Amino acid sequence: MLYYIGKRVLLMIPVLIAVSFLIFSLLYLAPGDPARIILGDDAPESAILEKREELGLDDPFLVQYFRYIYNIVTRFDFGISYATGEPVVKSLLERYPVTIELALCCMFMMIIMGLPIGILSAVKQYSLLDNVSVTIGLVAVSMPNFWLGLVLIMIFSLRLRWLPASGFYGIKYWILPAMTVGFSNAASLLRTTRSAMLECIRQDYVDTARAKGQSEIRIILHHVLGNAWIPILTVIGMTFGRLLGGAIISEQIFSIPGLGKLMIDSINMRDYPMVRGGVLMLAVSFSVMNLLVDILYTFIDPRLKTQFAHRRFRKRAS
Amino acid sequence: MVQTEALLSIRDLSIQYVTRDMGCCRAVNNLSLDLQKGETLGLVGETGAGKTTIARGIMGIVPNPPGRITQGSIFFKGEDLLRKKKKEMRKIRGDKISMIFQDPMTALNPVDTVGEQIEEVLKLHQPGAGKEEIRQKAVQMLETVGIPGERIDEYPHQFSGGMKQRIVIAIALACSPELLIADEPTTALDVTIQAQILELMNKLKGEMNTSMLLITHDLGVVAEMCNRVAIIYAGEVVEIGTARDIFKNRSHPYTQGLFNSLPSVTGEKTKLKPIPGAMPDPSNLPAGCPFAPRCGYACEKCMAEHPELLPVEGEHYVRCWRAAEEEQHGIAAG
Amino acid sequence: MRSKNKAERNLEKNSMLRETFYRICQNKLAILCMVIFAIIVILVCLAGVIAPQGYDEQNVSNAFKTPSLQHIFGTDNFGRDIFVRVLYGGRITLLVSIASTMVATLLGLLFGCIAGYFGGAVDNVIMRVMDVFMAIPNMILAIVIATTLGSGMVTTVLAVAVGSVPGFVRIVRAPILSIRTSEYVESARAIGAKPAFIIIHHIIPNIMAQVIVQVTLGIANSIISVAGLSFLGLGVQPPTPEWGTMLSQARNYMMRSMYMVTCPGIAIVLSVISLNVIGDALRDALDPRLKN
Repeated sequence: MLYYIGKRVLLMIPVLIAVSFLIFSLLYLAPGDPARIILGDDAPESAILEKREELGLDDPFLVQYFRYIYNIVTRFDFGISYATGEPVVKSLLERYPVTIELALCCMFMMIIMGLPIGILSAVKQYSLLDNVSVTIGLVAVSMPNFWLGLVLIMIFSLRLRWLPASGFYGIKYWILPAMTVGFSNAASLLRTTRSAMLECIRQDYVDTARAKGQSEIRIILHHVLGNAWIPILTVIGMTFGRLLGGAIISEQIFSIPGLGKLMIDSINMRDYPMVRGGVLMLAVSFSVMNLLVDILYTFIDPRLKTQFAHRRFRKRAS
Repeated sequence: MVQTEALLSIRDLSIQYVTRDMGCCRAVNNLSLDLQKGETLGLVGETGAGKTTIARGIMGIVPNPPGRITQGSIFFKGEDLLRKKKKEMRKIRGDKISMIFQDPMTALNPVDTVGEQIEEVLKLHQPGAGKEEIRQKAVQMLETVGIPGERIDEYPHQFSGGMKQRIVIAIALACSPELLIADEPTTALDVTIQAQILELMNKLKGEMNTSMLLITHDLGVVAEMCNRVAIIYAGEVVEIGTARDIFKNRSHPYTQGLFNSLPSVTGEKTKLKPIPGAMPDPSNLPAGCPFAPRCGYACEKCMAEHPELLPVEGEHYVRCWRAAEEEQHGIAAG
Repeated sequence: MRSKNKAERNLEKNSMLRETFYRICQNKLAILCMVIFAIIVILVCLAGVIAPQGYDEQNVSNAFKTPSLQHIFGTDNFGRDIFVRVLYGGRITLLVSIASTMVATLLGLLFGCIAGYFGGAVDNVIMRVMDVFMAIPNMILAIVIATTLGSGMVTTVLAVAVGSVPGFVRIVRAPILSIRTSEYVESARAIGAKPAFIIIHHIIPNIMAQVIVQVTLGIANSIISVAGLSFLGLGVQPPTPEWGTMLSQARNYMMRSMYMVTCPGIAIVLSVISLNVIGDALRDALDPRLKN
């Protein structure tokens, strides 16, 4: 088991290196001379040359890339912001918890709403509850979260004046953003849970359990859900990426000082080191999340578990 | 046929599936059957004849919706199972009556160890037993069906198909049931494994003094295992009798058709005679004999009137106008 | 159906198409959604006929009007007719979404076929590259690409397309891996058919069903991504009307007019819902086994 986890962690490293390379080169190609961005359009040519020299911008592309990675790995240094002149990592670490908090908040809402309703709706297929939740699920999945956010603000902040429309100072401020992103993701979790459960609910082993005299509740929770976990978990893991993307939009709508807002602001200011650092951080979080889901699989799916635990034994047997 | 004598006696059982697109599908129609203590009754018929639905009906696990038991009664040791509460039924399932399913590859929960799956049924029906005791019993069951006890903590995917069926049998027999329903227990297995499994079932059945309802479409299996045989067609019994009656003196044209579609090993090379056509659509059964459209001997009466189950001789009954008449002629002539 | 092999199914393609069509016709919701989507597409295409004056006709004295016969969705902050702008905006949104899905489909088919058909190292390299793209959340990848290439219609197409390529590659590759070793492909290879010929004649027809479903659902997703990107100011730029751009402008006037927010939003939701329903219905119709 440890061997497997170690292997997965090691396998993640090349992916992350490739991700960083992709992001670095994409933003390297972005328009605008960094020196000019920092010093302003009317800076004298000599100052710009000097700045380029200082930033190492005249070095070959690969040298710049390796320097960037080297600095991150050895000193956790993501470079200097063009806009503020401060280390990027300072802003990133300041904003990162907000985004993760928001994403976890959405995830919590998503699981609370999506999972139980999805289970119920599969157990009572074609009932009123099922029809209603499937319909709401369909609408919610099709609703872009930036629009839902605006509509929620219009209703709850501007008309009813129940909840604040922007900022991030307490529970009250979290409700609308979490609903904005959580709702559509809850719907997609609901749909997956329902179909995964339906797939398992007609399996023979469920009948075997019935034939044993097991109670319906135990059958649903243990035998059906136990086998439906894998697709459900996959969606939860994949959704985390969507939550991070969605967080960018909801941070923008609700003026939440998270990584997403920081990135959009930095893009507008052409503060590329900041963008690069932010994207890298989000991509790493997403990869780590997927890794966690993969590791969870092995606890759930014995076919994977035994594959690694009994590797040697199986080889001999076959 | 006195009800108290038989271990299981089914009377006038009808089961329907009602779906939105298909309408009402009559899977089992006015079916009556008796199973004596200690005997093995074979239910033989084509795919879709309603055999599995009968088994599920007895177990009380007809999927609902869309399935519904519309009438009849199922007496088990004199008590009507259909009148029992869900909770009482759960006590009987797995303990007094248990079932072996067709496909061992899918009948075991892939995420539980085989030990957990055997222990599950023991825990449900022997609430007083301690953890260690239950585990001991599970190991013992595994060994009874010929699997080394130390494999108890392995998962289903680590076993072969035949081994899995042994495990399914272990689960079914764990509580020494009085009635075992085996739904095509060997269909999904290789021929050599089939024989082993049948032998195992026969042996354990004798040891535990269990009665068995064996569902199959394989007449070879019937010959090997069954005391009595019921031929099922379109959800009703068309012929029933001792295995000897059925093999020696098959009266219903459908039964004859079943035997004619078997290749003969011993005899000369004869051409197989498959039964033409297919089972009638259970959502649209004909008014007369359901087999009439495929029957070579069908007459007007067969098309119009639904035949009764009539005695041929002794305990041998057949549901066919022509066969019953012929028999009487035969008796008259002889 | 299940027992028949792929080759036989291929022969029955015509009857299968008919059967699929028949099954979709049974699904009333799907029919309704097809009608809705058709109406949206027709209205959007006829924008020039319905509103020949164009989307830019301003009349500041007529701003923030509620819906009336003259302006059925009301007017925006510049007194422009919201209905007309939704129509013209739809042109851009739908065009960009469809184009980006097509780009993604083509790239996905290409890489998926190559990876699935040749397998081995080629497969490994392609799939590892896809892993890298999958490691970055779609929206974030689109944002980075849009930042690099600058905003505009063509870059939006690319930015949105790149993120959905891995999905297509996976959908295409998996069935090919199994078809590749099927007997009829083996026999085609045995008589000396070239890979490209085998892929085009034997493999693509077999995966078309899944691809069509994925395209339908992909367009729905693209609409959301395109509008989202424009909403963030990284996609299609004002004054060109686009549903996301319109919403982004509407943000500033939410107190004054709810129609600026609701109308483009409803247009997005309706298009996306109908595409999702059509996609689901197609999937069910093509593979009835999935629907229990």
